[in-house]
Amino acid sequence: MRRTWQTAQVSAARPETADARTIRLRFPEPVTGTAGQHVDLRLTAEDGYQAVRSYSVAAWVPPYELEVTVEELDDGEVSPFLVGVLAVGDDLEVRGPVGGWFTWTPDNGGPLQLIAGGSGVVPLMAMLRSHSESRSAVPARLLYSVRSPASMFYGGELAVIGQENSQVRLDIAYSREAPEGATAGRLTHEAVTASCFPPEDAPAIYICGSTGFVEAVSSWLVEDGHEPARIRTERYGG
Amino acid sequence: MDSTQEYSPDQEHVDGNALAGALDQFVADLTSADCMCAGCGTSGPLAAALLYRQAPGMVLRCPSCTAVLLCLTDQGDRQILTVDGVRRLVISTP
Repeated sequence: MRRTWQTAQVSAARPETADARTIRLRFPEPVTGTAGQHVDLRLTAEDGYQAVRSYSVAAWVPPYELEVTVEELDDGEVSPFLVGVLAVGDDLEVRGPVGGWFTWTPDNGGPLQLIAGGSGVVPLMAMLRSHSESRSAVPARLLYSVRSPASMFYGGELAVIGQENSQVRLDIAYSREAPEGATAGRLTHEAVTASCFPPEDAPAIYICGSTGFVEAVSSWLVEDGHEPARIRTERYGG
Repeated sequence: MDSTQEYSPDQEHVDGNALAGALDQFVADLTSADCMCAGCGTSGPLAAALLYRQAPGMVLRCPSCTAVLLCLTDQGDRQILTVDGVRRLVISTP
C-alpha cells in the first residue's frame, strides 16, 4: 500500500447502469489489496479547489489494475465528473487501497453473509469475486436490495456465479419495480431473516448501503440474535 | 511530583529517538485499532465510529455518546491531528 497520492490512468470504462459506471485504473506500480478496501480519489479544479471521495474497489486486476464502480449522485461534486466526463486515458490522483476493517479474505472463514443496498454492493462484489476466484468452500450468501432490475450492478456476472457456484446463494430484493415472477416492496425484517444464515451458524456479516439501510438491517440482525461483533457495516452516506 | 521541577540527569531514560522502531508499527491500518472514548469509556474500532467530513477538518465521533474522539485537519504541507477524546488505542500486531 502506498500512503501518498499517486497518479493512476483510466485504462477502461463501461456503463454499469444508466447512472453508474465501472472505471478501471492502471497504477504505475503493482497494486495489491483485500476485498472490501477502498481508494480515495482526488480531483483538483482549475482554481485549486480539491475534493476527495472514497470508492470501494469492485475488482482486482493484478498486477497493475483495479476497478471501482461509481454511481452518479444528483448533488455530487465528484461523481458526475467520474461518471459522465472522465475518459479513457485520463489521469486521476489516487490514494490507497486503504482500509483494514471492512474486509474479507478467503482464510477469514465463514459462513459469509453479504447484504447490499443499492450501490453498497460494490465492496461486497469484491468479496464475492474473491470467494469465487479462490474456489472457497465457505458457504456464502448475498442479499442484494435494488430499486429495479435496471438499477442492478453486475447482473450478468452475479447470475453466472449463482448458477455455477453451489456454495453461493443469491437473493435479489426489488424495492420499486420487479421482473416477472417477483414482487416489489420495501425490504422487511422477515425477508432479511429468511435470506440470512441463522445466528447459530455464526456467519461473518457484512452490510453496505445507505445509512438508513445499514441501521435498519443491522438492528434487525441483532434482534434475531446475531452477535454485534460479527456484524461489520459500511455506510456510503446519503 | 512538582510540575515545575527542573530536569536533572538520570540513568533511567534514553532519547525519544529510540521510540522510532516501536512507533513504526503504527503505520499499519489504524482504522482497525480499538479506540476507547475518553468521554464515556466505550470501546470499538475506529472504522465503526461516526466520521463527519463536512467540517473544515475531519471529525470522528464516538458512536455511543457522540463526543469528539479526534480531528484531522489537512493543511497541505502538514497534517494536524488532535486526539483529546481518545483515552486508549489498542493496535493488533500480527
